[in-house]
Amino acid sequence: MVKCNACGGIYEPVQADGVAYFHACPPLSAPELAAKVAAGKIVLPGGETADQAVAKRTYERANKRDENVKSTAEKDAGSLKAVGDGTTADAAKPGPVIVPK
Amino acid sequence: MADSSDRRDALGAALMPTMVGGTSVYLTGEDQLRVTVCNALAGVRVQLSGRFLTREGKIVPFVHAFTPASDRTESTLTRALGEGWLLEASVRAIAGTPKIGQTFAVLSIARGSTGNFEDLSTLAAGYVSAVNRIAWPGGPVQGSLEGAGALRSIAGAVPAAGAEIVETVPTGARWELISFTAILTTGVAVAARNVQLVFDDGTTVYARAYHQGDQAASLAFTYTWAQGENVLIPAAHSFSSMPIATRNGLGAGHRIRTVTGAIQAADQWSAIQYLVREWIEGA
Repeated sequence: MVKCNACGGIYEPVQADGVAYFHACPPLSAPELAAKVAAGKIVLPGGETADQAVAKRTYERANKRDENVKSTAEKDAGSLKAVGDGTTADAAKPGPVIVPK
Repeated sequence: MADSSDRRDALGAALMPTMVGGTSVYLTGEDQLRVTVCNALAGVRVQLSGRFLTREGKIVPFVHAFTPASDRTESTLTRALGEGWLLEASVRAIAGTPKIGQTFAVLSIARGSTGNFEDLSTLAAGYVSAVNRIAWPGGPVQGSLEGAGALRSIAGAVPAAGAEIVETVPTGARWELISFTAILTTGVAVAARNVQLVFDDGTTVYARAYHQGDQAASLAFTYTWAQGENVLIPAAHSFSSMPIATRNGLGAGHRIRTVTGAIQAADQWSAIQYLVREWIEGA
């Protein structure tokens, strides 16, 4: 498992079926947006609350990570759309537990 | 009296395509056989094989294998066979266990040099696996969105506390979302959370599936959205379900995400799992 340093999301880079997982950070949630408003990073229009704002539009992170390749062209193999703040290794996902007979 | 090169030219002219096993594919020395693969699965190895008839009348077998990238980007293998007639060629997976929907191959004739190839004609196209191969002659030229697709159960990213779920259709893929489930565990802050699953094209929302009913503080509810599902909200519920569009199609970059009304900083989404049908789609 790895943890995205931009959004804090935790995910398995390769799924159980052997296919790579391409993480992309979610838009800001209402509490995250409210924190940005409180920090003076953004002003919401017309006295909207953060809850109302995220229901109307998306607020993306400036440091958003997007692991998807830029295109399917051969030259873009292994590329990333956005590196963001990188990732950190996280504890392995617990696997199935085999109970003795 | 004709010299040996004149005799060879006369022989080449005499061996019209219809006179050499019915094949119409005559390759000059410049024409090359090319395989282009878009693959989603690690550990896959693809093999090109076949037979070639030289101008001198010799049948030459050929076998070439390569490992395509596993991020759905194009990987290519190009081989010059010389001058003569292509008798037959096929492409299959010789390692890995790709399903239909995961390893798409195109067999073509191309000209050019490294980094500057031009496909001149397509001989065959389709998904390959250990048992499914594409072949010329006689094989179809299929589109990558044809067929049943690969059924995949995917574990989504667990967001930080107070953050929403987002799952993005990877570059080079087309998804049909069959079902989606996740657990929301609410913190102690008093609020009536209400949940919707939102579909957008990376920017603009085009569908919302609302759950009816709220979730109060300090509870864990399982939410499910699925094709053909009924609206189910038991009276004392800790789970509920909602339908989503049948035969939906999500292109690369489209997102499946939650928008949780009144979500609090300590609320936590977890156990995110969803089922999709997946195809390769170039982008």
